[in-house]
Amino acid sequence: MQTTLYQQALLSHHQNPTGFQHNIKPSAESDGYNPACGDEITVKISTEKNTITGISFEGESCAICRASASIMCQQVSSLSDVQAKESIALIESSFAQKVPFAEALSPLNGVFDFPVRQQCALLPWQTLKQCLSQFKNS
Amino acid sequence: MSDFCPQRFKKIFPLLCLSESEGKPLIYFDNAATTQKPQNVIDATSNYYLNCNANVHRSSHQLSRSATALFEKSRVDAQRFINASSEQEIVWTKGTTEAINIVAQCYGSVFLSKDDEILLSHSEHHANIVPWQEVAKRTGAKIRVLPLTSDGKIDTDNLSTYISPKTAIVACTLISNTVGKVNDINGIVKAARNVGAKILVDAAQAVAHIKIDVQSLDCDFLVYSGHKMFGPTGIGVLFGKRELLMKMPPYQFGGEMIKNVSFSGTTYGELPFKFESGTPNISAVLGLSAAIKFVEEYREQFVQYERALTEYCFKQLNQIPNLTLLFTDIPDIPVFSFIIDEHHNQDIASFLDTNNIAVRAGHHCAMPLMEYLSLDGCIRVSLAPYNTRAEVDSLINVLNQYLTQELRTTVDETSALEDINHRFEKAKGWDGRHREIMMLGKSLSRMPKSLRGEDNLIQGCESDVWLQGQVDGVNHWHFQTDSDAKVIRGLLVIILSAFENKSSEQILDFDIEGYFEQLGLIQHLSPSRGSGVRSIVARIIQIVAESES
Repeated sequence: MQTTLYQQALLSHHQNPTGFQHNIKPSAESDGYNPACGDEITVKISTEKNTITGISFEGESCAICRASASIMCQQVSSLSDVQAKESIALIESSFAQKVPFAEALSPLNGVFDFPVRQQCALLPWQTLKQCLSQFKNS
Repeated sequence: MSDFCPQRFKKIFPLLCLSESEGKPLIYFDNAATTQKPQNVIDATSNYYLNCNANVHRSSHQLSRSATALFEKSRVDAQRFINASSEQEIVWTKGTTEAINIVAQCYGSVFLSKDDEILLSHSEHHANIVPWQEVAKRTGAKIRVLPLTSDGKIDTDNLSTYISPKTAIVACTLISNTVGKVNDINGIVKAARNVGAKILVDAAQAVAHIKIDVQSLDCDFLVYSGHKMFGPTGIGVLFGKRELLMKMPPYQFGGEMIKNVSFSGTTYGELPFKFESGTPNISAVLGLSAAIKFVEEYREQFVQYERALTEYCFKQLNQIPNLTLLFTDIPDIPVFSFIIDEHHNQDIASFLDTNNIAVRAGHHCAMPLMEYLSLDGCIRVSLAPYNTRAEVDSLINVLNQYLTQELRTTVDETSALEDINHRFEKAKGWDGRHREIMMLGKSLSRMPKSLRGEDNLIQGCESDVWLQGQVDGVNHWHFQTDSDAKVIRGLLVIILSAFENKSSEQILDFDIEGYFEQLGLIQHLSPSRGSGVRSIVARIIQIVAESES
């Protein structure tokens, strides 16, 4: 049977996303846009001493993008900026090299067979990257 | 013509036949992106490599002569196809995009200056926007954009506002790949002629559907690709009026496009060769020639069918709740762009794809049009004459299924089973369990009468039992079932508690006999009821197993 894009665990994130429209006092925020799919996302983070203390996202996006953002909010909350950047780099390289994700990131494995949709999954992470670079500059 | 048979027509397309013979019939509704290829086109391209592979216009040996003859005969086919007055006006290109780039670079960038205006429309493909932006950047010319009417056509009511003596070139699509309506190119040509502007017509989306005559259109340039009209990819045509092509400089430089090369000076070849540098895509040219003959043979036959199919699809799509077509009125060719409120285009397209329906979601290389309409993108369903009403019905069914189930997910995979186990454990004796079965039966919603027919009737039950199964976007099965017998309705709920919203693998692996034993079910049923229950299970297994094979 064909690999399922919309795996159960991914849909659970889509339907009950972590961090969606969470009310935080952001110290940095960034907008991301994926023209291929039409995803629009805003990622906001609050930080204290180089550590992410709060993360939130909002915007109109597809199930893949939204689920990926939800997973991201679970993953990077309370990480240091360096650790968060490492997580982002891991996601990017896993997609580039087609290395399946383990555990909490595994709902994204369905996306490997749909190259056009990888951008949807990557968008929240790339937007967070922009966010982190802003925060460092400020 | 009324005797056109889409099923017979479809048989000419090997890819579509293959998907059917593999039991996974593809519903291909992305024809505006590229059409499938008929056997004669495939044969023509492979025949070149099999029987006459040699470079053209070079060597004097027999093989090269026959390849050159076929190659140049194809140019005559392309000339006839759009009624150009000379084969010198037919330039082979990689496709529409390259053809527009040749005009932009060799006409626009050479002959336009900062006081000139380039007139485009809001419904242009990126291929007819970006090259002109580059011309504007290089020459200082200004780009102006024609508005659209509410039905998506280029608005020609106020042409005088846009076309003035400053207008140097007007580049417009004959039919937009997103709108699907024939623009009033004649009106635009007339207005452009009055001010001496040149006209380029993008016919990429039109050529498979309507007959084109460049002489009666009176355009200066017309461009199209092979692959949107059943031909190969990587080949297209630039038609240009002879006197314009003559005064334009070459596009690229090298072999094939020269007359004489010397370090003291090089002279360029005659038309059309001065625009065709390097060894051309010979097999694709021969494939395009086959596609031209194919369209010429079938177009009159399928045009009426295509119209009826367009009307049918338009009517059916309009019945889907919350579906909004981007433009009012029925399109001229079967291209339908729409959005569905509160549902993401890409998720819908993926759900359709899971059900073997290929459509396109996104901006369709027309981002300025999406911006004009204040949209992020849309879903586009584009049909060809090998598509059928039954395929349109499938699309509608799957869209409705999506909207009612929207990526339906398991609420709790084990709860239904656990609930029944719990009820049976609590019930005292067979009487208590029988009561539970009757209670469960009340929870089964009725199956629509239209589905309670012969097709869904299960053999081997003493009461009538109907059952139908469908897989959803996450490849989980959902069954609709019904019976007139109350006890059977209860038993159906028990059976479905094991199979509903499960994957094929889960269904085929599930130990249903062990489950019945745990419930103490079969031994208390009459032999005929018992075998009826097993027939229902067997039917579910059969439906699932058949879909897997």
